[in-house]
Amino acid sequence: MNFWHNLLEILKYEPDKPLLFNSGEFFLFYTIFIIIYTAIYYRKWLMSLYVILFSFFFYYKTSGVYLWILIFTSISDFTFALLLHNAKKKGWRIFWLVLGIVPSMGFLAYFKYTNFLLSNIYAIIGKNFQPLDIFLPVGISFYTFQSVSYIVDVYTKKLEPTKNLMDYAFFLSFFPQLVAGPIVKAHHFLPQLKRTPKVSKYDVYSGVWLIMIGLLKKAVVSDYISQFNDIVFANPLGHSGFENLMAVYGYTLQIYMDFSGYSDMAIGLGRIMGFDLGINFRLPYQARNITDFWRRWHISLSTWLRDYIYIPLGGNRKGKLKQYRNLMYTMLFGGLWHGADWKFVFWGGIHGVGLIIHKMLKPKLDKIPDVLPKKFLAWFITFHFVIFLWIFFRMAPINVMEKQTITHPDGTKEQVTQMVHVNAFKASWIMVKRIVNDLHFSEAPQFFKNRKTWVILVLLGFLAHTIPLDKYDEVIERYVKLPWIVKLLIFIVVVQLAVQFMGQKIQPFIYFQF
Amino acid sequence: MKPVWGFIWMLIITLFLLTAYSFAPFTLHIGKIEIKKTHFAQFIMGDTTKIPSLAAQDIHWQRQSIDTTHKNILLFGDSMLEQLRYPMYDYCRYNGHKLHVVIWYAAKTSWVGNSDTLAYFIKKFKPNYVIIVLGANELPFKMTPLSQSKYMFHILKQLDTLPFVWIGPPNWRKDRGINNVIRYYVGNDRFFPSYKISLNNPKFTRFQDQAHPTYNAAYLWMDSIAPWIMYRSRYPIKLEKPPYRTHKNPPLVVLQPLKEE
Repeated sequence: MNFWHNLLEILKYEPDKPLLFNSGEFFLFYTIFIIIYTAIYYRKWLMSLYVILFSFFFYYKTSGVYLWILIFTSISDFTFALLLHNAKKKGWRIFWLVLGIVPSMGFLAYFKYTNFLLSNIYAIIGKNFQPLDIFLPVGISFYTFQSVSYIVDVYTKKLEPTKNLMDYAFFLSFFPQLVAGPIVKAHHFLPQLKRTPKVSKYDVYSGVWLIMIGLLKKAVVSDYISQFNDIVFANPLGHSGFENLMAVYGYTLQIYMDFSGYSDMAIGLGRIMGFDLGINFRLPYQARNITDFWRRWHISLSTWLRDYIYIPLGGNRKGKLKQYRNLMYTMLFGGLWHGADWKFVFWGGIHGVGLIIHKMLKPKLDKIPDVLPKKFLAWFITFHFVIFLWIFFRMAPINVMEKQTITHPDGTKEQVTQMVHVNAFKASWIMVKRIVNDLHFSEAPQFFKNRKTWVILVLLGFLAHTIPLDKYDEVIERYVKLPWIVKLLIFIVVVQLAVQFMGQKIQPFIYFQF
Repeated sequence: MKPVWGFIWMLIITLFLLTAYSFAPFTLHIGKIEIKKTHFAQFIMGDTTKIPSLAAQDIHWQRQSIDTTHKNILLFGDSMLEQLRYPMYDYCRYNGHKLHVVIWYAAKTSWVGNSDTLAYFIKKFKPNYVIIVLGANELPFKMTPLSQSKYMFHILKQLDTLPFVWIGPPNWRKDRGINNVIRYYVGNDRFFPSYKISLNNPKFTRFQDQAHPTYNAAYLWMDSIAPWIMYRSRYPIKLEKPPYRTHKNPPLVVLQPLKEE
């Protein structure tokens, strides 16, 4: 029968069909999963085994046989953490620390940065480079950081290592946050495994609320507005300065909706199962300085960088100059974490410069009374600084047409329109120049008329972002208190909206690539 | 965990409603907006849509001998032609063929299959042989013969009875179905699988963008295409290898990328 055949088919690994939270397959699998989970949650070992196996299956669907990396990392982290804990002498402790970190960081270095390193070497020696066919296992950057946090926490005695391999495998592979975060730290998550999961009505329905909001952000807003943004970023010169500017604003919202949408769904799924994954975003575009932005954007990453890079480097304990240096190192590392490309290093570096400038000016800025014009100006500058850097973050190499004079082998010269390949960095500047030199606000009415849905979604997206955080909590509480049937109706409407906006193919999450 | 059962019922009821609606013989509307269906019915019942293709229709075809007459060739495709046009022009001049090149930057099968641009250039240049080079811009997209049927049928309709071959994209990564889609519709003897020489071949060097072949790679590519057209394709024409590389420009039309929302 076709149904059974199709069911067996979706159990198989297909590179282009990962189990995305916003896919029909995940809906089906998760429904079956949560029924069994709810029936067995109180038998801890059985529940753990069940969740680990489901998480492995979830990972197998995204990265196939590369599941072995996750299994290997679980075993090696568990073993080295115990050896590290039992070692008495400092030398041995350092030895086990290094051995504990090397496997996971080694995998990350090989799978993510080999081609980057080789392409740079080839560029230096002036040869063409054919990238090696290296598969990047999905989410490797996320679970590697979790793995490192565990080993380092055991080394710094912040955490007792777990003596149960299943607990550690559960922590590292927990499917809601496995492939795109939040990066949950061991000292936050492992203690939760010592008790039987308990959930209140509030936990369940606030979790459902987060799943719905995440679905709306990702499947409705982000995926829809990405269509226009992608076209403009692929060809900035083919569009007016105004269209370029709109695409930059659009991408600013898109990346937030995409990533925070995934995080919301992950946190919601975890909460329904009785686990707290922390928070990952706190309305970052409300920030009024760049330090505040990094306290609101991808919080699990910025706190990881703070705890495991910035503070070990010395933080702000060794004078201003060293603090600035430490900030810069941390942000460069953070940039490189996002991808094996110089554009991410540049993006991280300029954010580092922004943080340093803010730290330098802070004493003077604090003396200015906190009145509305100051608040607005601070927000405006921060927001547009972030937006400007998203251009470099998003841009990919493009082709542009240029008039060039070429010399043929027989010596004759000819002027031709030639396609020139420009790298992402140059392409970003092309876009910036296009916005600066060709910006005509008179195009706005026509643009709004032609792209009504895009404009409405972007405006609604930014409008929702202006609501204070405590109001969001009120809305969640109201939803939780609604009669069950009303909650069901809202849930059905949201799922249908996601179906309604879904294109021919489901868009992968932006942060999957990192 | 008692409250979780309330959520489980929400999931089950929603799943049931979506499935039931996907089976419904009617479509609901709110005003002018159609309420879309999921693919659950298709998932349960299987995809029963039968798609005819040239490959399927051509089972009685017999290979022809090499046509040595001079051809008027239209080379139509995406930015991969930026480099391929040079060796193609060398081959055509050496073998006495006339060549017109149309490069549509960033072109996809959906663009060509959604417009009459190809038909326009066929009418304009009146070729008696067409070479299509399309698909590179669709490597990352998941595609099936069903999802692309509308576009592929319209491309084939524009080609009508003209002899043509389709040069597949020179993959720099594993594609997600575009090669299979093209092969499905045009058949093995009209489809040159470029990925076989481009993927994991250190000699197939590329520009900085890691996608477009260098001029050397384009000549290597053409050196594989030509014997395939001459000896293995459905419409074999004379394409002997020239003893020179001139880098001369063939007559060229450039189309800018389509604006689409």
